[in-house]
Amino acid sequence: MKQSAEKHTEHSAANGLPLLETRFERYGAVVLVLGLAVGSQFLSGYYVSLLTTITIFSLAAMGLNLLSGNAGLISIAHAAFMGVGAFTAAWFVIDMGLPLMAALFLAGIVTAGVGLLFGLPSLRLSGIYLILATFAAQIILYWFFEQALWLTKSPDGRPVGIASIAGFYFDDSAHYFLLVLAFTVAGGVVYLNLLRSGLGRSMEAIRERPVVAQLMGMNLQKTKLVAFAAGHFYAGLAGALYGWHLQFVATEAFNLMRSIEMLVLIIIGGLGSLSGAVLGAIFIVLTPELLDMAGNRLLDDVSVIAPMRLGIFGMLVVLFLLYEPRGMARSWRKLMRYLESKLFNMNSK
Amino acid sequence: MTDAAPVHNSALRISDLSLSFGGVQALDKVSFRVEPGTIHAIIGPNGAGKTTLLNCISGQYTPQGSIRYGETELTRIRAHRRIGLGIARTFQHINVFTEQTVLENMMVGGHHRLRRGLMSRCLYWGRWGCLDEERALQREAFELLERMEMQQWRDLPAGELSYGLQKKLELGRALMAQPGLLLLDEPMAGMTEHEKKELSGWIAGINRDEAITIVMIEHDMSVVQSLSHFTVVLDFGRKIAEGTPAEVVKDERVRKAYLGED
Repeated sequence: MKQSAEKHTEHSAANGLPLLETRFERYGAVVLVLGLAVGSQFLSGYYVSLLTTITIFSLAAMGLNLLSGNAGLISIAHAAFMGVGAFTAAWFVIDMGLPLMAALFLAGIVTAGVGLLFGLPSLRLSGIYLILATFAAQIILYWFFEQALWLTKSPDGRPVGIASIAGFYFDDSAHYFLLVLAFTVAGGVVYLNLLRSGLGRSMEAIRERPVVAQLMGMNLQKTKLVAFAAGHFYAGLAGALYGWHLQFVATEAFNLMRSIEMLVLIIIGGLGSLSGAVLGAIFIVLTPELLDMAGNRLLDDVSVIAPMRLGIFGMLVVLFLLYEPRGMARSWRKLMRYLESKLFNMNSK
Repeated sequence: MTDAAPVHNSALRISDLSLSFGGVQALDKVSFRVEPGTIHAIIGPNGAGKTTLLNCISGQYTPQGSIRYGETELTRIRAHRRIGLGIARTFQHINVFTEQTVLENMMVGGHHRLRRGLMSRCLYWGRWGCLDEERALQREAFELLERMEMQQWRDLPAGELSYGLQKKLELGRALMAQPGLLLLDEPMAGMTEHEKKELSGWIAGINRDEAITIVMIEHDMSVVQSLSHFTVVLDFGRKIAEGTPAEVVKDERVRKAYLGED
């Protein structure tokens, strides 16, 4: 009785829609972030590197999920936009001498601008035609990276050295992970904020029922452009962080294959949700590693498993589309609800 | 949210409205006038152009002729701006967002009154965040849901509601826009007698208490007769009769065209 009374007051207070739905999720998120921050400091370089890659891909995937999952604008150019962020950030720091934090932010802004530019002609396109337009963006940007040597220094890419903020050098990869984690957590909070605000509602509305959305006063073009800008801000920021993670901005890291991988990531992880972006990133980064490991253990020979990697990867994607088309996020949600009921034995909000 | 409640004293004047789709004349020089604060029913057989007419007012189609709401020529206003003038509508087929909660569906209805920009939505909290207007909208949705006796389904995905409740939710969503003119496309279709009675009472209530002008497509003649002040009859895109419901049902042409009598 007391429970329901409390619940009612909480709702009637009208405090805006919640960031995370249940108390379990809120505490879980805090524990996860703190656990990662502390735990990462005791891990070996290999595992820190994996964690960093997963965290950066999560951040990038939030942007793609905003664009493709929430606004319904499917893109196969996300990696190219990450490249835009990586190269512009490197240019701001090395060639212009700007501090890292400013460069990261500006890289996001520039990438958002480039995203807007490519978004403009896409406004009248949808479905397969929009995908083709983003394919063109991928090809054009990749070609640009190979040609614009004033920016990329060599067709292969450019070294960027070790990240540093105000004289502090992130020469320990575990320290750099903390920086990446901070940006990704901030990105996650902003992503959830956008989803529970009017923008989130208008993106969902425009994707699901464009006619209703329009008659409710939502400007279709404007909302799509905002999705292009915001989604690519994430891509730019994540790309820049990726550059200093590898300490080399390699053109090849932003090719079509990687872009498709990003799309696969959000489909397998779960379209339109934060947990989808994170779970998908874990899947995309760990699956090849696990396959390699399996190859080593079982066959004593990586050369056998390496060519099969893409095939197995593809098969997993098909299995997911067949049996869990809503992505890992939904299974995850079910599991969490189950655990919550077992652990707390109540439906607390 | 800062907007004061609008004063609804705008008449809707439709003059010489015509629209054709590839040789089919969907609307043929239709003219009529809806006085502020009244309930206007549009009746007619299937394919008479009723929904087309509503779509012209709400902005999906661009017809020839003129639609004036108050002093504004609507045909020159883009569809997404018309709700800002106080024009909201519901649809013949259910158009709620099935995966969003009932509350979120309601908040979509008040969307056009949100003013905050992208930055404040990123921040959400604090002085520069959008929380203030989100809360105001949420509070309005709470109040309206309570008035509609739907508060117990507030956090349920709208797709899990019964058909009748989804129709009602759609009406609530339109009311969240604080309209002066409400366009209802067969609000009673598929409802049980009990639900029809309840919803009729509701529609009469919002018309009376909040002086909302209502233009309504309806097939159930008993609903039309009990609810509407005036009735326009369309057939093959033409207006064939208008008047009070009692006058209209007596009209020879109406009996022929619509009520199926010789």
